[in-house]
Amino acid sequence: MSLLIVVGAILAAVFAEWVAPYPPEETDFEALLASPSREHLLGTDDLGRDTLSRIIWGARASIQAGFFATVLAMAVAVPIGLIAGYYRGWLDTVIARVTDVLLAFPFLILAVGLAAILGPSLLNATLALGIAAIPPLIRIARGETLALREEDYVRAAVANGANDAVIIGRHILPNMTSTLLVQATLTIPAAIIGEAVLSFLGLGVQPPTPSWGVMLNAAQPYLNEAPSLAVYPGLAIVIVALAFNLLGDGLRDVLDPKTER
Amino acid sequence: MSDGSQPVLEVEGLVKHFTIGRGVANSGRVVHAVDGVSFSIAPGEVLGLVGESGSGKTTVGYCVNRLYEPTAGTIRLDGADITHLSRRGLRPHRRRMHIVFQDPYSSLNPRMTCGQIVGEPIRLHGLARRSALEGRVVELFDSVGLRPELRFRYPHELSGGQRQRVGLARALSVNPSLLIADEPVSALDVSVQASVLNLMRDLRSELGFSCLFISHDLATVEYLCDRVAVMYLGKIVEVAPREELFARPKHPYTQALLSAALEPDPDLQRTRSRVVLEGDIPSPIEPPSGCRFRTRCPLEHESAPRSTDEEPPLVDVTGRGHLVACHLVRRGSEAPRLVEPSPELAGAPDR
Amino acid sequence: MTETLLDVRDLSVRFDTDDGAVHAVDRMSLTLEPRQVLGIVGESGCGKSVTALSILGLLPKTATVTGSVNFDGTELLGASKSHLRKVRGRQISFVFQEPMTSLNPVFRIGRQVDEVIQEHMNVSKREARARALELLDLVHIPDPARRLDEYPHQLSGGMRQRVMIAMALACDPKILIADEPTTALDVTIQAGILDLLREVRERLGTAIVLITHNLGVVADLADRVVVMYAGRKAEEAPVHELFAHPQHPYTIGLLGAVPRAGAARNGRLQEIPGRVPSLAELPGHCAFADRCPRADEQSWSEVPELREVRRDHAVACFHPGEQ
Repeated sequence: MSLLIVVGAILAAVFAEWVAPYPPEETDFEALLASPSREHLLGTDDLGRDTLSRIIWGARASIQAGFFATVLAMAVAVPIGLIAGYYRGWLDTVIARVTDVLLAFPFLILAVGLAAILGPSLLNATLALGIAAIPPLIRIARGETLALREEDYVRAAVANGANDAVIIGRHILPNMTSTLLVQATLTIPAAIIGEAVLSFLGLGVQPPTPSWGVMLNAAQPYLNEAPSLAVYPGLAIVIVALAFNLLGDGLRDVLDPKTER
Repeated sequence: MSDGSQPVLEVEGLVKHFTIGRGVANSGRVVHAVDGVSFSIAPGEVLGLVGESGSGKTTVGYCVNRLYEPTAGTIRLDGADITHLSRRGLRPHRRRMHIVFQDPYSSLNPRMTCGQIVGEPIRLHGLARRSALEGRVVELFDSVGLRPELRFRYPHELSGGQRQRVGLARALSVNPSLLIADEPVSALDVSVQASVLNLMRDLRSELGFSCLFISHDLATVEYLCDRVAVMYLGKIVEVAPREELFARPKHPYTQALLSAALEPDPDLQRTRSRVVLEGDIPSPIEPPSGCRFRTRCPLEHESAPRSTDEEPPLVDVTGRGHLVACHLVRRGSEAPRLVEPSPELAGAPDR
Repeated sequence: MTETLLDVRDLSVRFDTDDGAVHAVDRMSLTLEPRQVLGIVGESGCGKSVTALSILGLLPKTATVTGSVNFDGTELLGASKSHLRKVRGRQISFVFQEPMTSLNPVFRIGRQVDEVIQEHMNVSKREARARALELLDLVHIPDPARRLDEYPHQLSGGMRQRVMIAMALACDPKILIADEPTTALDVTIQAGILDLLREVRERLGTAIVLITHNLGVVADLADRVVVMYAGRKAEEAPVHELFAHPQHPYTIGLLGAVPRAGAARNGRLQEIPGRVPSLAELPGHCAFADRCPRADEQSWSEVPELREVRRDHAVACFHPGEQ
């Protein structure tokens, strides 16, 4: 189920041109703030734009931000965590302390601060989210490495005369992939929500380009007259984020090599 | 065994200390895991290293294999000093020793097939490739009594005994001259232990490797080893050829250990006398001064106060390789007897 | 006939798991007399611990237990929770393998011992503490007053196991069930615990059910031995009889598989080929058939029933006999 939603959301984002009934910026002045109807399944906004189409197009920004931010964070955090956990020493101490300090800031605060420095755009918002997601991932990669280092098969690899690249690449990294994948499916929804927050604050996607955060922002003045304008993008965020989280739980079980398939 | 040829392994004055608690409160506490251990293993010889938990026997094994960095002492493998070689410098020597671990569950990488696991050392040392590698792996599976098809399986699909055989095949894949076996059967079911022990015995006579066999079980050591070293709290207290040690144990600790071992024979078990040692093994953070065994030694009153002030050296008391570290055991005089060994167990030479 | 303290009849335990039913114990019968030490021997997964736990209804809800457990004239299977609670700890008590995890690490020893005493006996705090001191002294813990003020981590494994035994003896139980009481301990410590159990039996007259995988432990302490394999009783006899005249090929195999003193001279260890079967897929024939040198057509088609082949010596095998 969660997999269906995630795949559906990704497909909708990629094929928005074909899936969405209207272009996202097309205005229909006949129907301003319209309720759901046959022409506009989820109604329209104050400029007469189709809500459903905007949500579908908005998925593009959200998923793009969620996905690339996570990839960026992984690409930076995993090597750092591996090196810190594997080699220990002063470098590890420095990395661990810096991570601890950064972890003291909540993810969103960090992302908002970074986005403010970088300037508003989807790319910068993604960068900001990616960077903000690095500290917890470093901690996880480092922790896993520390634990795996003590496994007898890693000792056996040392006794084999394996060099560090082999030990890390063959014996440590593959055994933390499931943890990392699960972590990724938890980071993506956080980044999706983060993108919505940044866009809502005007630090992400700029109107009129649709994004769930932008839509929430635009819906603000009309909360009384047309609450559905806020409800639908909000629901989209909740459903997709929840689906990714559930997918993470499912993956954890599937990826454990010890469970029979 | 030793015919004057060069020993495969020589360990001299090995010391391994761990510092624990880097915090402010208890900084600089040192665990004296191994404190001056010396022994050597001749070509083809199996040396048993026996001790209870906390004796440091596993630490010795890990130091020899350089999985731990020794604090002091020398380790020579086939005459080459490997004590402080770098990882890179050590690599060519890795072919000549390998290790089998206790836990058959954590010693195999769950993401590799058993064939890949066994073949890895061969690949790493560039000894064979592709079909030759495959052939060698099949051969190794065969020699440890595993069906060759099992090489495509993952470790979690195998039983404990089979996994331990995979571990053994991996260790033997590069034809090491020294095998370090750290309690290789103690995690296995009783009915499976025997076949692994027999396998080790067969492989050893077939391949002729030397072995450092680490165990807490005296009977297992007696079954497999040529010579036995007994460790207590980071030190070797007695070394002797197998028959000599089991028939005429001299150190009070060895005697207690032998008398406490359980025999699966009610008639024998209930008639023999045993020495129950008082108290617990002291903490290796603050080992007793002088003789480390004195806090539990039933004969402490005889050796005090010397036992408190002076550490007994490990000396050959028979002139035939029976080394004991005890103030009460001297060359030329009988060692004090804690219990009379029962005749069935002692194995009088004329039997 | 001597009186029977505990009479277990046709005890079967089934666990319903996602992967189907697991028959952990199949029609086990045991009797225990006062002052008797009954050893239950078997390898991991043979059902020996489950048998012990089911006696006191300590199994999780996924277990279906059938048969009868009669203790001192009352039926324990299906008994009310309050009745079971009265029996547990007071009449029948447990000592587990892991002295590390059986004690709560955040409370002092004294508090934990006191609690057990107060739970079962109507005594004041002061009386409980006096009893606690007496108990620790009984299990030969030196300087008991000081030990009561310590935390579990300050005690060694052997000491912790002594504390566990002291707690189990708090109410002078009639039966002590000891599940692998020495497995986690060192050889020299193990000897002391076995001596203690022997003394408990002699001095207090407690009957002991001794569950272990170690034949040496049984040889040391048990009066009577039950050998279990794959959830069933394979063989039962008085200890000397069993070790002198083992009848079941599994028992013989086990005895030949353990290295013993003089191992070097005794020749090769006897191997039992194959592996311990999974209880989830027990066959409709003798469960030992695939590892047995004596297996024949009958072994491969029927489950052998227990029968008496020598005086007071029962075996579940179609081809019993020494060697």
